[in-house]
Amino acid sequence: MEASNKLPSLQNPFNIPLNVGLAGGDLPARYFAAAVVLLLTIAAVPPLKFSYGSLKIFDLLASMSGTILLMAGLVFSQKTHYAGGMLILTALLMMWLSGREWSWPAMILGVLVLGWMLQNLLTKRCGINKLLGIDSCQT
Amino acid sequence: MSEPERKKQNPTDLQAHPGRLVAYYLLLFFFIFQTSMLLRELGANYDLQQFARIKEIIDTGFTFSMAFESLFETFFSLLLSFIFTLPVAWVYTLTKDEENFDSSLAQTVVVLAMVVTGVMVVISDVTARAFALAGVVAAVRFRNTLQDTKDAVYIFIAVAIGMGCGTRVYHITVWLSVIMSLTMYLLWKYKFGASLRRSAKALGKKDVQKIYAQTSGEALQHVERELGQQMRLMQWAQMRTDDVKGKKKANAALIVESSDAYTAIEQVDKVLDAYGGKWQLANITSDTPGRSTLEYVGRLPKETTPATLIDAIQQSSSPAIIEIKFRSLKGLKNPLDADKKSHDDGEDGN
Repeated sequence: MEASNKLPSLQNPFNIPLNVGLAGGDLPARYFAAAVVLLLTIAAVPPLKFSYGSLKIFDLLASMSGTILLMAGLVFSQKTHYAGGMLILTALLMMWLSGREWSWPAMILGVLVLGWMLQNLLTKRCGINKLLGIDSCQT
Repeated sequence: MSEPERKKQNPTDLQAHPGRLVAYYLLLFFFIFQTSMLLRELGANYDLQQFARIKEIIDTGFTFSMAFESLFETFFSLLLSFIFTLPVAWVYTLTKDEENFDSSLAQTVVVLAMVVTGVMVVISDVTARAFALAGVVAAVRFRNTLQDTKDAVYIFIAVAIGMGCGTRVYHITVWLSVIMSLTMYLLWKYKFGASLRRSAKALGKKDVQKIYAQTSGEALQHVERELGQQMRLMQWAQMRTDDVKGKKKANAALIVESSDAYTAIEQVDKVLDAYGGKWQLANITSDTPGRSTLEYVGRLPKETTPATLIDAIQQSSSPAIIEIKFRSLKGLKNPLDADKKSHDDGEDGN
């Protein structure tokens, strides 16, 4: 019986149950992360002509806030791993791309990540949460 | 269910995944790295003349050479503090018996020295910081009653080692650690206090054995009879006090050898009634035919001397009375109590 229960989920990796909720501050952290990524993406739009120094400061601030969220998830039993990880990775990648004067790719990256985050927020399903064994729908 | 069992069954996240703490510290270093980058970027992009403190943090807080020097000093002092205190903790675990051993104290000794080192490094030569520390210590209550006085000594040693390492007088601290560990170990090894007491006791026992060996059988019988009598009288005096609460303890015994017990009792009672002191006939024994021993227990009145009492009984000129002995019970302890105490001491010593 145990094997038959596990098989369907192994066969279909996209069969993700509802696992994004308020528990452990997952949902608020995701909203915050989405808002920050949106701001970073807007700042990375080349016509706005933000200097690299300013973009670096924004990206570092975003990365620092992501680090705090990840630390909270690791030690203080919160479920903010996803938001923290996404903020760190996105901000550092955008900073790296901006440093190489690849402003458009930086903006596109921001848009893609934002899209992914919004999709997770709308469907209340998250593959990363499933991978990490986190279910923020249950307390 | 006991607390440790409960914790074992329901571990917290950190207890179940201790690696998370390592991950947290890695993230913390990453966070500090980002902060330094951010501050440098702020310094490079904006004029921070108006923000002197931020500028100071950027200039001094993240200067590599300064940071390395402080880091090295702190690490080295903490490491030495740890190394110097380990033997002290080891001596503690070695010298403590199973019942009184406290693993928490062993850990405390090591960590306390490191904490004190850290405190001393932070304070360094700044008087204001020392006062601030005094204030913080006064505000935080962490007092704990130690069951064994010796435990406090280990705590003091840890504090001394910590202070020594924190103030970088390593050459003194290492000797402090060696000498104190050795002293504590040797005191335990040769059971300093207990050995003194035991040798004194052993000497007393040897003397008694020597006396016994040199004493004839008749003399021994006499000694045993006398001791038996004393024990009997003491017990009687004790019982007399216990029976009536508040009654003063008997402090004297009168032993009368007589050829006719009835006549002797009559004569002695008359005299004792005349002098007062609430005497009681405690015991009558008769070892040989026609000879009885009467044992009285009571309090000798303050104005009466033992000689007066004996003279008065002898002057009654009763032929029934052969011999009168007076025995003071003042300052004598109940032999049973003494036996019990020595038995308890023996158990302690073991």
